Amino acid sequence: MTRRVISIWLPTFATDRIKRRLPPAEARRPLATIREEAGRAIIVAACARAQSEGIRPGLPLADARALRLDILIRPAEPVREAHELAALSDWSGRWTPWSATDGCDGLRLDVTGCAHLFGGETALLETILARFERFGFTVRAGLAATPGAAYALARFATDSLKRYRVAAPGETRAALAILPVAALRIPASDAQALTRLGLPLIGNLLEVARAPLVARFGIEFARRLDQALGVLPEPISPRSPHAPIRVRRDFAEPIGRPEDLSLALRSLLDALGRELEAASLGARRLDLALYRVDGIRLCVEVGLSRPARDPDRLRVLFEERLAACDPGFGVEAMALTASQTGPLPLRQAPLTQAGAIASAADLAALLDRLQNRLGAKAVQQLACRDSHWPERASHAVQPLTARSSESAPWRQRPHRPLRLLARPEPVEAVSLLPDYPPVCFRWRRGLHRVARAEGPERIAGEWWRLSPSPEARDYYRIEDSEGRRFWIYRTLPKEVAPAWYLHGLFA
Amino acid sequence: MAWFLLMWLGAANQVPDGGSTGSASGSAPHRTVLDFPNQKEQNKNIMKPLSHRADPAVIEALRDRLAALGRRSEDKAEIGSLSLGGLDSALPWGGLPLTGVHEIAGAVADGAALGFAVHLLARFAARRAPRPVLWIAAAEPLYAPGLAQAGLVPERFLFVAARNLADRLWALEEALRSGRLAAALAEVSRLPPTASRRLQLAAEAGGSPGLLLHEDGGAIWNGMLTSWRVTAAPAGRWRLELCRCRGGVPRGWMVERNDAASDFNMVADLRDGSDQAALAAG
Repeated sequence: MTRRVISIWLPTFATDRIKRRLPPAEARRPLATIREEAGRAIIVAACARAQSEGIRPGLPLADARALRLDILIRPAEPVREAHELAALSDWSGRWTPWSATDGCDGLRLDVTGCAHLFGGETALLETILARFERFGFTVRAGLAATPGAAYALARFATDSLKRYRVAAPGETRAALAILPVAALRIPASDAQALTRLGLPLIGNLLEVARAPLVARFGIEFARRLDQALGVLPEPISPRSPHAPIRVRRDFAEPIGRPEDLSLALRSLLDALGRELEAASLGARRLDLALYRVDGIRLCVEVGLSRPARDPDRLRVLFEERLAACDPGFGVEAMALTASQTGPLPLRQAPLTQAGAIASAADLAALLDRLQNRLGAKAVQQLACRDSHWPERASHAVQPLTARSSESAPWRQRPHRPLRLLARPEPVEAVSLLPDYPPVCFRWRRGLHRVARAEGPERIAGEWWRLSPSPEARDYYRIEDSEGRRFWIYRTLPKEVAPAWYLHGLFA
Repeated sequence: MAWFLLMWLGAANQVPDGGSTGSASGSAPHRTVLDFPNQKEQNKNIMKPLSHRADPAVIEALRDRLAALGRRSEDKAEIGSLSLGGLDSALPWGGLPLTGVHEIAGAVADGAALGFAVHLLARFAARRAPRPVLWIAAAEPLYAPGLAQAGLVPERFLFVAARNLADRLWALEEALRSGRLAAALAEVSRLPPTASRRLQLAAEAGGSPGLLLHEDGGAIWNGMLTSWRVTAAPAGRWRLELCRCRGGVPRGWMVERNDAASDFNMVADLRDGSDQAALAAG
């Protein structure tokens, strides 16, 4: 299939994004964004109206004010501009999953095999332009077989009357030939030099010998030319990762009622379930994208503890999150992507043990619900580790993964507390003799008199793991006069005054 | 009241019946009016026996009625129960019911309430194998080797961290309702008024036991099947107080822990204030 790429150019994006939020009366005034440079304010971007008055980027603000006294000035916000452009690129995912930003004022959409869904290439371009214009953007577009050619068409072959150009498959070379060399995405100085050499059009470059041009303008120039012609590949890396399993629904009218969204979700999940089943896969992570009419893409992500494709189970996970989504003035398309999958073969349920399988699946479903509301790391399973060092002996793992082999030895070992403090808390302890357990200690402002003590149990740091290894500790099990039992240790060496810490609580 | 309802019904009937919503709202007053005489009759039935206090059959009938109101939770035959040795005689179910929510209170520093909770979880886990137990808390999980020594295999111990009290209660409710866990416990510091009822209903729906652990020594809440207060006592003992028990009377015991068997033996039965003597003996 021939590749088809749309390049969308928003020539006055920096000012349009401000203007579309202004009240109509103010939006009619010329607008420019400025940047501080060496103590002067310099124009960075100017709207079409300001440009017609001669206010161009690079002009000092004072000169611009001299040209138009009523000009509106806003500070340039490159980071926010980039974010908004990225958001537009995400929203353009409603036409193709393969969308990316192009510089600071353009988008690239790979619409190979997509255009027929929207009534053909011309109809698709008309739709795209109409949508962007309704958002308040000035927009131009080009459609060609390569990103380079589409870029050149959008920026150098359009005007306010003919807002888009299409180069049919196989006509890339002819369409490019009549465009100026600056359309090749080469530095402006190179373009000027080529014009001075008598080669103002790309067509001229194709006629002359190539070697002297490369020698004069460098390999980069040749690469750009070849990319535009499709001789060298130029991939578009989409902003959202490519996932092979994706289903989409477009609506005739924007929908906004929760019941409608839920119904659309069900239809998407059914379709996705069928695709996953055909591939013997289950989803580990699902992304639901809601494309709103006002150019905003909402995204709901759901993670699963084990691969699943059962629509009913997945719907439960989505519905709570979907209720929190604000559909605004309406949602016109929804897409559901299985961004992570795992093998899930078709399995015949045995008649006798159907209950056991259902119970395992129900437990996984419960854990998924907990994880999706409380966070992926919120649900953990405990596991013992075969280590003497107290902090290492217990660790948390992904639920439903731990094996029970390592906890068995603990039943024969010395007693361990039920609750281990996250970090040992220093206590003021008094012991009668250097090697003796304390007779009393103060912890969290409470004084505890020791009634019974057991120990010491010396635990040395694991020198083979950490360097320097933590210093050895002498642990005591201590019961105070009221029957409370603590796990207390003293650091070694003993030459310096020993420091006492409380590390755990026994039941 | 009845007069008002009749007036309202008259007004509702005058509204032309258009579409489904109209007919739905029109049917509600009909039902109310039909129910109304029955309710009145029932009220009479309740009011009459209360004047004859001594009649045991009436008391029994009232008990049945109350049990029916609280769903089937009081039905002794239907719910299994967990035997707690010498404590069983004080519990109307002949043990700790496997369906319902129990509360355990204590102080953070002495760990006795924690120990009792883990002990119960281990017993539930053994009884309802191979289902795991779920522990819902704000911060860090328990210590796996300690759990293993308390008789609870850490691999069957799932931990959920949720800082927010509402999230913890939600998680507990979901866990109880699913019925796929041996037991679920949430550490809570306070309880919204409706939460205990919600949890109890969820536990009945899923047929699973739930525990609420609050370790700041605060008050005992209403609505649980049983409420326990556990304090540490010298020589490896626990003082267990059954502060509230649905259909039972408050009691107290002194028990001795048996670490090797992950169990406890009763030492003394502390009836109304006789605990001082038992403490002295211990």
